[in-house]
Amino acid sequence: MLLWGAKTGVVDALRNRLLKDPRIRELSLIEGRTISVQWFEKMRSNSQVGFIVPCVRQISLYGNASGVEKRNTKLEVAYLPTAQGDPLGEWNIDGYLASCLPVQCMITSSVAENLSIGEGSEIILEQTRTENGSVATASFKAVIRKVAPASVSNSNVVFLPLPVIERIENYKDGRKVGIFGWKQGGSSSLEQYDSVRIKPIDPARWEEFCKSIRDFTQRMKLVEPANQVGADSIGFLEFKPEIDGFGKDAVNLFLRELPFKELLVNLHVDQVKASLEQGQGREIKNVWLKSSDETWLRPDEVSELFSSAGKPNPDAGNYRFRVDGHDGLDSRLELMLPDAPNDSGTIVLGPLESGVLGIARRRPVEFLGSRNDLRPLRTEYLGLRLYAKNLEDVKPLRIRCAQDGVELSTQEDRIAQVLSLDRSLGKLFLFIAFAGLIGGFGALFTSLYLSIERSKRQFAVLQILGIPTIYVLAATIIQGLLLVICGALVSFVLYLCGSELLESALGNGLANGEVVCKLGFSQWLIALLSASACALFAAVISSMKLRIKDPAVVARCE
Amino acid sequence: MVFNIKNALLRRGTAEDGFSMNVSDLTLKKGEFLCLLGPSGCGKSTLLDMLGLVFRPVSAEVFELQIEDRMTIRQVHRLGTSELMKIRRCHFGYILQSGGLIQSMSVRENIMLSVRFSNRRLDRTRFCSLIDILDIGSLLDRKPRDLSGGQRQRVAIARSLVHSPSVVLADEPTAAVDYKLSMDVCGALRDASRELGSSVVMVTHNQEIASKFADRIWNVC
Repeated sequence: MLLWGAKTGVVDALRNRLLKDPRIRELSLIEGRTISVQWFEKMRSNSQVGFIVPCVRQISLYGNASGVEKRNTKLEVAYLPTAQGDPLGEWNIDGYLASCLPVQCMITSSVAENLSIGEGSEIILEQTRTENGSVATASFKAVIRKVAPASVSNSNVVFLPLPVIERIENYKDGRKVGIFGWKQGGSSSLEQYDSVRIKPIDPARWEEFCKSIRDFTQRMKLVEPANQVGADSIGFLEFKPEIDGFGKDAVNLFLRELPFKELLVNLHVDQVKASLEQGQGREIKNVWLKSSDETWLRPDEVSELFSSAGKPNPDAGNYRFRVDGHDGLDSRLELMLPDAPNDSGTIVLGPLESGVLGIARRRPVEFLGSRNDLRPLRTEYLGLRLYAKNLEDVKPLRIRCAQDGVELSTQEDRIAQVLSLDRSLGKLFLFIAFAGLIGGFGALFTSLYLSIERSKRQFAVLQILGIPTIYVLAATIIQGLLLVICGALVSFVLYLCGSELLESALGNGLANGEVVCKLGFSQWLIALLSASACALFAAVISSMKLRIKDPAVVARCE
Repeated sequence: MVFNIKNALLRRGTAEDGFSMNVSDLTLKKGEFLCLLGPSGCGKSTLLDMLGLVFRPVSAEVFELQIEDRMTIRQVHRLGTSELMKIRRCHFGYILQSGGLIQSMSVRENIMLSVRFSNRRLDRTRFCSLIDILDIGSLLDRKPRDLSGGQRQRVAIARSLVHSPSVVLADEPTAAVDYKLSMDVCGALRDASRELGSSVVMVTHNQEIASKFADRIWNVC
């Protein structure tokens, strides 16, 4: 019982610690390299993958943490991306930032102890970057959803949803992060437009208008109104093929220099294939950009990649779009629209929304209209966190990744040792259990057999007296079962003493909840039932000796 | 008539190393004290075993047993083992050479063994009377190993009579005790059996004991 207890106690605890420790199933990048989003998508559907999440540059994964109450106590922490099903700590999390705001995080016990914070409290995460030679700082609050046990890591680690970590990297790269209100540091990038559409004016002044345009810039091509545009337009300006985009500065300059103040000028973003995720699901074929107030002339920057003169209308409807992207990557847009697209698939947007759609046409972006947050969806990452589903999957998964050019390091040697140890221990304890069962049965059988042999004369007397054999047989079986029960009681007491001794001798190195010897009720029941079955069998076999052919002779002679 | 046996052939052991005898005519009357007398090896015990239904004759012309006044069983030797066992435990009492007591039981438990398995209620008056006659009242809580030879035999007599059997079969109950004790034991057996109205068949090779206590002597040889 002590051996069995040790097997289910310390040996199984050590075995499970090795077998269930997710860190042993981790595959790490040998050297930094870019990995495409498509590769991650492919790996997510691989049955050997237990968990995978992309990671940003290593240098972006550091920051300072502090508690809300003691803000002066700062702790340098590492950020690690996490997602649903993280083996280091299960907690409910969504990969889409809009769904998991306010930001939630998991911290290691080391962080919790150093900052005296725990689950449910808030943590302030702060990151820095250099702007024009000086250090700039940005921070945000996150709610601690889980404190990972010390076995996960002894380091100061904050696990954050990947979209949050991506935004931290964006900030460190000098971009503006609208969702946290972090300002843009460097020069603003220019938004590109396809064309400028000119609303109806007096047709008689068209020539004069065209002349002024030609004088203004040679980068535009005038398209005759009758050919390309509808009756509601008098003209349509397109880029020249060699010009890449029609930037904000050009638009502003154009508007400043335009002599026809009565003209209503719309920027036109053409051929955007977008569909509403909510509402009627109509496809948007054309987006008209309308500027109706003076703010148009003074664009404000609203994100790291987009500038606009307009602000979204807070009273407008909130529609979520999916814009067909490139290479399987779709943009996810949450736009504030006054109306759904009309029957002809045309929608009139403010400059901000149409600009976003224009960007979404060229590259996958994520835009939260409610927070003015525009962010490019990444097409590749520089790292990963990857865990195989089972120990046996580690090696084939490494080989599989290597075939894709992603070289990973593993703990295959240690895994082989653990699996070998597990198999050896399994065989050893199976042998011990078998030997114990055989030994127990043999001892019981011998004991009962000799007992019957010694009492043969008395059994003969009972037979002469006419006592039914079944009673004698029952007496033998009861004797065997009594032996088992007494043996079980004695072994239980001895087990308790022995396990206490083992606990005091070997229990120091074990974690909380782990014991050297552990036998549950079911295991005791199994032992008792096995021994009882042996006793019953031994008693039945032994009782063959009870068939005395001539009891009178036996009773008389012995 | 308790037993009525005619031309019964008994054979024990193998053909080369065996023993056989023929019982031409043997009867036992109700309440009779019958002694089977003969030297060692003449077949007294074998005959007793047949009468005790422990050993079956090879054949018998008549083998009748009247266990109660109105119940006679014919061809007893053809009954099944379980039926014979039932007759033994309900209607027969046995006294073996050294008593045949169960060592792990107390004297009281040994005596009660016959009552417990005979499906009869204990007659306390008879039990007390038997204890008095045999003078074993002080021994009831002892184990057989703590008793002398004579005490063991008296306890065996009590066990053989406590359930009011029709027949008591005693296999040389005085073999292991001295002369005086033999007289005491046989006297106690005779007195007790007469008190209860049971027939007794006793095997002995002692002519004097047979003459003194038996109503009838049956010479085996």
